[in-house]
Amino acid sequence: MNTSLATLVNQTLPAVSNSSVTYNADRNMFLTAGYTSAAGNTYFQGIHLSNRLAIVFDIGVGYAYTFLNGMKLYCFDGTQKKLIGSRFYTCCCYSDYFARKEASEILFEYLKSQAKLMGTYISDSQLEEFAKNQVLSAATNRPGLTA
Amino acid sequence: MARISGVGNNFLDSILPPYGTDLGVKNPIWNESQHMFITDQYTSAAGNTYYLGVRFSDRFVTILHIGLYHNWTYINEVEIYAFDGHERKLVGKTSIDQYYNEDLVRSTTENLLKDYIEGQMKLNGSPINQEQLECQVKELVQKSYFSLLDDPNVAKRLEAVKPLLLPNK
Repeated sequence: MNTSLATLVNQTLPAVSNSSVTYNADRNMFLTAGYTSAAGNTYFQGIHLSNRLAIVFDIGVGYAYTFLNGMKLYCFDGTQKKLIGSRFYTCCCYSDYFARKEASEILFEYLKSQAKLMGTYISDSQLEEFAKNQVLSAATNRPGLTA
Repeated sequence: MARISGVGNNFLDSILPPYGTDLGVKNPIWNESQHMFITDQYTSAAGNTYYLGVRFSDRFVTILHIGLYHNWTYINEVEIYAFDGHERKLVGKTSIDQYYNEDLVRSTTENLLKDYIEGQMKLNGSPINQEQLECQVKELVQKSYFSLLDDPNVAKRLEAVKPLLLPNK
């Protein structure tokens, strides 16, 4: 983990999760401690971080499959997290492509609604591109990536 | 710095600030995926997050008390408010304390609204057609599941309901 990422993680992770986490280099994701149900299914959260965004996946591992049960996006308000969007899924197998696409859509919806509430017009294509880059920044753990 | 071509940095920094910087704009947060506003967010010392989900139509407001614990999202309570002029008035409330499920939330909202209308009709001595009432309640609740992004009329009504979306109301 590079220094800037380590600094970012040390600062932001306590705001996002109160659980101890491990870093999964393969997925570029922080994983919370898991919970295994009586049925033998394991549940945990996967977290992508940038300096502007935290993406939290609710993940379940059952039998031979890894399921995406839900997703939450947080921005930061000072040193606190702030929920800006969420989605729930049923019987949805986890894939990086799908997870990033969904996160980009949630962020796009947040940006567009905020622009609307502020009476500011920004084209959908510009917001989509910006959202996609912000999610990519978090998913690849490149905190300084600009849109 | 985050940039969108032709858009001032102030806009983006005010709604998606870097860690350590306060949100510049305290607008209510709209969750398009769930068709509701997110207000009154609070994270306890134990790390659980609580917030209110607010849906409204021109006739009533639904407030959902939602809790996030580890991997799970719970729906704790559902409240229904009718309008009394520009104020809201509690007309129904129930505790659920179950995993969040949109079908459950919708049916609970419908039941609370139906109970309120039915009670008022009984007090007024009005005849009640259960089938018609259920149908009308479903239509009323459906109207509270609007899209802020796609419906141009919603933005016009927002100014009127913004005070209802302020924290601790």
